[in-house]
Amino acid sequence: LIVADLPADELRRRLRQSGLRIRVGPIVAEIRSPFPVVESAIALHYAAHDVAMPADFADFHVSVERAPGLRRWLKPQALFRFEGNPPFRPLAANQAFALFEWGLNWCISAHCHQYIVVHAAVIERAGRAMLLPAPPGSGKSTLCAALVSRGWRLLSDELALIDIATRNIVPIPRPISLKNDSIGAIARFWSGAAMSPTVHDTLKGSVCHVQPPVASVRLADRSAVPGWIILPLSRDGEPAQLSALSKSAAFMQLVDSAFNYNMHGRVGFDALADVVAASECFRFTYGGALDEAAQMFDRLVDAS
Amino acid sequence: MATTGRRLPPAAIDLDATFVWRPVAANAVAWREWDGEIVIYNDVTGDTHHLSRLGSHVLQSLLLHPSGIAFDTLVIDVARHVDVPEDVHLAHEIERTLRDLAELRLANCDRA
Repeated sequence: LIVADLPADELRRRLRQSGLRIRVGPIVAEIRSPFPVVESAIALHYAAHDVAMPADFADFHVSVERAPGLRRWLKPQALFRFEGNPPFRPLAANQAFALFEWGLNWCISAHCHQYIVVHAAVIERAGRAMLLPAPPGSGKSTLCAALVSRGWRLLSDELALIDIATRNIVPIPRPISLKNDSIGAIARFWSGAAMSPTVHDTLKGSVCHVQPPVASVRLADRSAVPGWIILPLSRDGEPAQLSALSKSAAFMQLVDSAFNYNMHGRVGFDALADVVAASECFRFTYGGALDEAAQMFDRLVDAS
Repeated sequence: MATTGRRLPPAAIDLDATFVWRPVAANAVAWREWDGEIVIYNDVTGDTHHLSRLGSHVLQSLLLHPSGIAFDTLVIDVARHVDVPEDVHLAHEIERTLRDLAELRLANCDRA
């Protein structure tokens, strides 16, 4: 059973009452929300995800609720709860789905310590994973969306889960989050992209989500071996260029981008070092020419 | 040298010939070398560091002498590995590197 199989009234009932349990990569999340915007976004972005049975273990119980108080009548707000507790301040009600996505990111990065969790997009081609660790604003999600539109498999646009035992990258395909100028850029580049309405004036500016490809969701149980580590840097007007990146620098970038590296001590060091040793490492600067970027990455795969 | 984790106060340093430099215990660190650069995890501090090429050479020389090596001998050893003259400039750079390694608790200076 997948989310798209649920009739609209059953999806609404589960979200408002018993909770909707969906399998997202290696985790099961139980979700509750009365917001129509959350319901429609889940129907779109999680359409191909498996519905977990009520008897299945749920790793996270989350909800996006109407925030209490007088504001609820004047300027309604959405409040994210994890296991009944609100880890964040509420946001405007029209940001309820973005809040859900950010909240789920937090649940995974703060609790999934069976993995080394790295702030990075991950895509796959020919069985090899490409990690794109980078700070916000580097064009990581834009590049990820562009390459996914050209046939790369989406493992995640935000969180790389590194299996400590195997060193493989575990998929957790979810909607791709785009911000500001990248929304229009991807809308122009990927004509078939299923995008939710843009929400303006969030903490990150304007935000929109792109549905993950069905093929990527269906392969969510297939890990990928490390293949490449690419540090993207978006610079207006510059031609697309791949340049060498030392493995030491790539390693330190992974360390800096990991949420829970310090927790794993020497085991974490060895795991990340093995991932770097198995990867080709590059710096990638580009000025927004996504076609050129996609061709360059195709050549990179062909050359490997 | 790039580093993660907290900074520590400088350890005592003495370049006198009656003192030797010793590395941190080999079993207290995990490290990888790629293209002449080392990344190293220090069990004692829980910190991870990216050593420069010179820092990598100095640490490797120290690790080859777990019972300690005099500063002058270390300069000769490193000069041989990096193929540069043993001059005042190199000695100065190695002195600075040793101070960094001591600060990171990857090396210490002690009486021979």
